[in-house]
Amino acid sequence: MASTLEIIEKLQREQHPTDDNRALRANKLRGQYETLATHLFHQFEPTKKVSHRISRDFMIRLEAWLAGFKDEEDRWIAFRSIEYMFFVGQQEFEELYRCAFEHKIKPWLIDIAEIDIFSTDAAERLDEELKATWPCPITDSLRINGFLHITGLDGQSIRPDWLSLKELATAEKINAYKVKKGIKYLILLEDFVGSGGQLCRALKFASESFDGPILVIPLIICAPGDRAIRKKIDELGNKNIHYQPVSVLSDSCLITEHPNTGEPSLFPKLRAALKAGYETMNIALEGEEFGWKKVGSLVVMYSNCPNNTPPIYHQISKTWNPLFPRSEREFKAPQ
Amino acid sequence: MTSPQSKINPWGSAEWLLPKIGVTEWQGIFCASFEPRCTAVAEWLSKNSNINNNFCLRISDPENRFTDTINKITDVHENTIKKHLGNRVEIINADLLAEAGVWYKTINEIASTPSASLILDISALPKRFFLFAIKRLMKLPNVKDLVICYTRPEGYKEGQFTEDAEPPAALPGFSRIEQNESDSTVIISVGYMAFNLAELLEQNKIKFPKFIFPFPPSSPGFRRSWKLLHELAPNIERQTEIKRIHAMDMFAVLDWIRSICRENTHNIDFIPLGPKPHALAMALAFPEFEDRAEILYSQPRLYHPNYSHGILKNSSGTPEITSYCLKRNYINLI
Amino acid sequence: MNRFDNPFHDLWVTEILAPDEFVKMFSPVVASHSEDLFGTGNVVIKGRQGSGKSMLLSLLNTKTRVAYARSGAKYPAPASYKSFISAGIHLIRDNARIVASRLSELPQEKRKDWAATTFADYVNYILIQDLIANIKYLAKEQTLDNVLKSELPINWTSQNQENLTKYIKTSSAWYGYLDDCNTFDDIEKKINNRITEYRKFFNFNNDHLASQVESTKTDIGEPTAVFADALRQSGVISPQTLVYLRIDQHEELYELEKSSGNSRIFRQVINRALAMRDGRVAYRVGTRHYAWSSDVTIWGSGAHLENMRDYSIIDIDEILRRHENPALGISFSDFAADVFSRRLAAYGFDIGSHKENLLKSIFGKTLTPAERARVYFKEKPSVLNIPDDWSSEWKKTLERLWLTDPLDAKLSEVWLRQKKQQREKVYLSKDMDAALSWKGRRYWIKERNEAALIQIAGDAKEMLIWSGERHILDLSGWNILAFMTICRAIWAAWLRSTPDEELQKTHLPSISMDKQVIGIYEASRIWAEKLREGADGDKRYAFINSLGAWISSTIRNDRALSYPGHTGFSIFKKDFDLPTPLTSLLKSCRDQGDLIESEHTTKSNDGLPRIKWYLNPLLCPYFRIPHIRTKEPIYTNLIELNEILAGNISNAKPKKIDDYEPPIQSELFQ
Repeated sequence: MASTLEIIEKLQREQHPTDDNRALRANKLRGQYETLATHLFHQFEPTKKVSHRISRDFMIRLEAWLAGFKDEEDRWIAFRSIEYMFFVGQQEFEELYRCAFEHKIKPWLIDIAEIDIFSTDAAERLDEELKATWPCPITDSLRINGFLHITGLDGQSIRPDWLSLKELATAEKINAYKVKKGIKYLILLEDFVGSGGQLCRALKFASESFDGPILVIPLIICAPGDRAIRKKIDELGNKNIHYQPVSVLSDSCLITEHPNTGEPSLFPKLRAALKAGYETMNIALEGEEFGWKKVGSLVVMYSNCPNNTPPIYHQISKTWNPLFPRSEREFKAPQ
Repeated sequence: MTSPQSKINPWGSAEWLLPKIGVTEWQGIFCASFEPRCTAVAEWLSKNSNINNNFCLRISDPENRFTDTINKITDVHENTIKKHLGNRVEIINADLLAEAGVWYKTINEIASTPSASLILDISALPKRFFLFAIKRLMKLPNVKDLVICYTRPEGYKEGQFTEDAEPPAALPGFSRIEQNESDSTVIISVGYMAFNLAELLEQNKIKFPKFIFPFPPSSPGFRRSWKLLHELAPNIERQTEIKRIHAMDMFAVLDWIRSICRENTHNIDFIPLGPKPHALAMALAFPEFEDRAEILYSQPRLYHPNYSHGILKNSSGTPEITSYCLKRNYINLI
Repeated sequence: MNRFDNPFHDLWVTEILAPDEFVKMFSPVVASHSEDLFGTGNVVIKGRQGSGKSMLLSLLNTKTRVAYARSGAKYPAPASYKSFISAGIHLIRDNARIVASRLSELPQEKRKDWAATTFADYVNYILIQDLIANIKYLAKEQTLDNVLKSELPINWTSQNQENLTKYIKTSSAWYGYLDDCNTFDDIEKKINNRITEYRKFFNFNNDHLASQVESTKTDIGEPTAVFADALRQSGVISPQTLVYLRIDQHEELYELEKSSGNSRIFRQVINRALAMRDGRVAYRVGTRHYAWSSDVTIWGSGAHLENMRDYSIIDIDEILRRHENPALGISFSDFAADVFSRRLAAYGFDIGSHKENLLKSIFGKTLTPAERARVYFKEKPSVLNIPDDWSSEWKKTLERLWLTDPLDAKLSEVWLRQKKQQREKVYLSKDMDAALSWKGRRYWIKERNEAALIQIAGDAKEMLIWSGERHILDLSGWNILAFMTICRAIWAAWLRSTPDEELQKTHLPSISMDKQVIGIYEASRIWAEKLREGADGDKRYAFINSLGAWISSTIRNDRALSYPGHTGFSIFKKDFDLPTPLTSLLKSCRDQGDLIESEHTTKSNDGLPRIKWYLNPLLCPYFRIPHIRTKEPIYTNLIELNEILAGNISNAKPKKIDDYEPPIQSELFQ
């Protein structure tokens, strides 16, 4: 990897023939990215290392990534697009866990158990109901132990991810466990949902095998996934299923194949850069340059980059050095 | 004994919270402004609650090039509010930059009924005004119940949406009582614009600022807030505390602020650049640390008419109104 | 020393440095030319933001002096300065503006008076509170190690405290407020109490000001003078010890008056204190320029303060700007160089042998115009614009010249376009030797170098180059904050692109030109964005942006370089005196340092006096205009400037460097 920052410095130093202010903009953005690198990007686990020079490390990766774009305009657009990335770091997740707990789970239980929040024994009664909850992840991507630790919830000793559970368990066994532990409520959590395929499958299984109120809480969900889940819940017709996402990424934040109303003015040009990069990396992927199921999420999590995010950002190949290389440690069930 | 785990803070969507409070008749305090969201609470309350003897504030900026446009839009909104409240409302005019003594008088008048049950809609009220108002309302013994309502817009204008910010100064009612030479803890709630506060931060060479970062929600707030953070403090240390707290979770901010301020006896400077619920938390935390705390602000004199657009709706398509119960049956809940 | 850190990380220029840091970082260069600061009269210290004004004032702090004494460093005062102790108030930090928050509760006709008397009383008591704190602090420190004992002994014995109490109480300046005090402790408590009462009242914690406070308001300057004298008479300090009272952030009053409409009251009160001149105390007022000169009337009397009689001025910007001739004492170069080497030394760099020309060692020499032209040229084909009808000899000569000395070639081209040469059709000539006589006219060349370079760079699509010691000092515009901003940005650019191994080996970097260019543009961008801060920030930002764009395109379009000095503009002095929004904005820009103002000796036949302005040098890279001020500025007038202001001049469009549109120009100034 290059140890000079030729491309980035060129952007800051050269006079563009038609875009008068390009160098100054590059200058300003670079400064912002250094701050983001210092406080956020360095948490990215696949590239994490001990270093005194965090922001420079990121600049070097950025340089290598930009070198992959042959066209200067694509390079410039790719450079600018980082401002629009939503990086979910550790502290972001901690707050998402807390919000799931405080803003979704508690009020839900309060309503179901009809607790008067102003009565003197309200907290005790809520505690009782909390003991009877069964928080579980949908896939093994959500770090359930982290969630329990941050929220202080005990949960149950068995915390299976329901996508796996679907392959292995029966409704009878689940019910037996439920009865044995005095479980009343199932809470299904997921860190990131793109198109919603996995979640819908797990939800169908849960609906068929858990007899009781179910609360589904995606921490971050893209608008297409949100729509898919609502549709699925309608179809299932199970009145016990409740759906409360913490954070929904609207269509205008996603870089999809077709433009969305209200999308940033950068996006039309970004589509061209996505395509150019995809062609250079020379790998056939589902969703092509837009990411899995063409969701086009501009999201990176500190644990990994979701494959719904356009591949230029995360796909490693012989001809491509991504900015946030994705680690394929998770086995993805065929979609 | 309640453990922290199951503590229930009295806030949430208005339709969830208000019925639980048990008040049968409310007095509303609204604000007619150029922002579309200023009518949402009045409309919802008029349909779902019993409200009477209401007040509607109309706060004017100093004369500027947008004054005509703003007045026209505000007139429309004022009429909408009046319509919803069935004309059971008194309009009060005030100046944005009026001296605090003027508001003091206004607030005392508004909250003069014995056993008042008040709902204050801060959606379109300037921070300078509502923080002062709430400090006062919390102290008035005749205020029996106090609920604060807040509605978000669909979005805020990109780029600059205010101009002509005054130099930073302590907000009226929020100055430090004791002046001493001790180190200062500076707590900054991050938002979209710095006004004149970047200079203040740089000049005061604050060694260890702490930031409250409004998260969730994410886009576009995430991008804009980080941009502002970088602008305010381009060279902050890696270990700087940047506490992420949900933009609407006033109680969480209040708890966090209290724990930070109780750690030592330093001076405290609060800088509320972020969402109104976060600013509210600062104002509510203030009395405990009054001797050594100050809330600093750089008040804009001009707001662009398209400062915000739309009203944020929930999944059922109705305006999402967040409410916070600060007082119930004369009991202070914070 | 941590090699990965940027030594210019903190842009300290205020006094909030811990005393021992202060001693290391403070450059005595300016202080050594400010003898008045240690004299007996009142002094007003004026300086822009970042000029070092507050640093200078904090030199008087007791804590600072203790730090100097203990560190062994020489205290940067004139050789035989007098013994003094000082106390102070920061009008912004101490929230002086709160006194105006409850005026509406009074009847209209009483407000002005009440505001003035309350302000006076508040300031008096805060100064006394601080004076007490300083005395007690020094007394305590002296018990440890006798620090400053020889020049400023504090005799804080119980007998002296008794004496002090007695002397204080005998004065009527307190209007009886201290009558019920028996010991000094009582007095100190009562004083603190009063201030707390005020703050509680202005915070709306109490509905009324305690009547004991309301009825005993003191007159500005009086109780402080009484207290100072009592300190001397009681033996706490020696009879010759001076008492300095610092009033910093005085510009806050100007702002407060603007926003609260209590025009001038507060400044008039301070002026009254200065008018007292009775020697018991002396004031040191720190302010930004604009806040001082616009009003010097005295509260209560209507008389005026007089410069030299009631106070003297230390104008830091003027000191640095005027004395570019080192023989006259100090130059900004000395100041900056000193600050620079102190900073690096404090960070652990081994400056050693480089101390004398550290800036040159690290930043190198600034390239000459000819050298810069060669860098722009970069083996590109000529960007000279040679019309077809010029002689083929000229064409050949110029194109050949371009390959070795592009600046020369360009200047030749320009010379041929000048009116005289056009009239005489020199471009048709075939005799090259005779024709190139212009090369002897050195002044003609010197005036046009920078403008020619701008055209060359522009035509070659290259960014302008700024680098080297000379450029960095010039771009700082005599402002130490600007200088530090540039150093920080350049150092960051260098750090960012230097691999670890190289950093480990480096003792003192030699920063290459291209890193400096990046750093300087960054500093310039930051400086341009700072325009938004402070009074009228948005309007100034828009105005300066338009001016910058206008000047920039004027230079680039002046192909004959007939007006090489058009890096500034001027208008009639009489027009500048008119009270219009535009002139008020010009003043604001000048006051904030965005524009550098000076008299302009007109060359036009009317002979009418003019005023000229140039952009702050550090803004020049951002706008791509030369920072050198040569020859004649653009002669313009209020009408044209208003057009620029309104965005009606097409080549004066503001820059767009974010993804959203900047506010529409024409809207801003209706």
